Amino acid sequence: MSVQSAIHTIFAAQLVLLGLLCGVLLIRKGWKSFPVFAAYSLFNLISGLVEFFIYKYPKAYFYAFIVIESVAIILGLAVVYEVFVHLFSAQQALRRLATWLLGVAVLALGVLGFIVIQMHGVSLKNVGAGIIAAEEAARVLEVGSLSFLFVCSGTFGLHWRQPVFGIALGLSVFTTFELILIAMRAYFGVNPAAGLNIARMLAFGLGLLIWIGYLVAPERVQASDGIPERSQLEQWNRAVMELIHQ
Amino acid sequence: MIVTMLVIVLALGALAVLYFAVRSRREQSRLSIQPVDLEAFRTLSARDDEFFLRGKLPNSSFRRLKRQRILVTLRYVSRIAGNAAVVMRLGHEAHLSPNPEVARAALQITELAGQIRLQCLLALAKLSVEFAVPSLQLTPAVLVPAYQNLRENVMRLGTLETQSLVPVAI
Repeated sequence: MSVQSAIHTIFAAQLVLLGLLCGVLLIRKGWKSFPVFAAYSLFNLISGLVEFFIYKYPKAYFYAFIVIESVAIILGLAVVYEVFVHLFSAQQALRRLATWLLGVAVLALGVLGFIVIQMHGVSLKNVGAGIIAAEEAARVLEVGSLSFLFVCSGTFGLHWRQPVFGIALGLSVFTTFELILIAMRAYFGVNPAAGLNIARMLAFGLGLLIWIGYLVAPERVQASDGIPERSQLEQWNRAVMELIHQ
Repeated sequence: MIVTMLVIVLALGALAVLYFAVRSRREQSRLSIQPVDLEAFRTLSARDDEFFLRGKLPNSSFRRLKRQRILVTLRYVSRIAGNAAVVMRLGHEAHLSPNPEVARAALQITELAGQIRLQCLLALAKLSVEFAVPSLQLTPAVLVPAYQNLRENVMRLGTLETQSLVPVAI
């Protein structure tokens, strides 16, 4: 099997998986709970089909690629925010603090992204390198925000519902590998080796499998000791409060 | 080259975070509520005798004693924080209950557990600083806003009608 046919096969498999994901979101009414993620999935499916039909026309493909990547990154960031909203849905007090922390993290990552663009020494003459640098900066923001969510949830002891965790995990896996590949592409040159393209497609395929798996698999019912009475909770609260007040 | 290395290090860090997130989610589902002896905890955290001990004991002994005390207190606070996380998980599941009263009560409890968790984080930070510098005793003023916030929260809960949770199907 030649490299080109391998790329075609993986691309076709990716489209099938995207179709499956959209189907799952439609049948399970996932689009009601996760409208942004549903839009992101549908956009990826449509853009994949568009790319499939125009890849033979380099100029058209180039412009389509820029538009598609830009929209996909914006939608990806919107998915991160949707995950954030779901994660803190039952936590008003923590949500305020987390929103503030997320704002600071996004600002810091934005600065880091700007530094990445500056250090690449992008000029107007080299559009290709400019696009890669911008994409790298955007992915830094996306990967950083997702990592922040995972760290934040661990610190606050938040519970991830299965589909929310699946969406965040799948997006993280894809964007993290994408970031590594973009960094390597920026280092080795604009025209990527076929291996990098295949690795990128496989990373997205892995993300798709995670999304489908977590959305389809039933949520495990966890054994519990039962919720303690409110008086017990208040007692804990008071004890910690006393400790803090010392 | 530096940018590439920097970005790859960031990406590898993100992969490590992912690994720990998957592992901690699996572990979190196995956690259960641990008993906390609140009387012992209060006795341990009462610092009235600290000035007395500071005056009577040599500096090194005082530091050692205070650190030991802080270590035990840290274990208690960590246990309460762990319990709060378990309650948050249970409350999160129960708040999707079709019974609106159960859902509302679960939401309140989840909120309160979140408050406790936050207060525990503050207490842990404060204790960690005191462990590093035993001679330091953080003034209440530093934490007064947090304390007042929590007190208001407890008072708000107190005004809510007392209702015990019925067994929840989760």
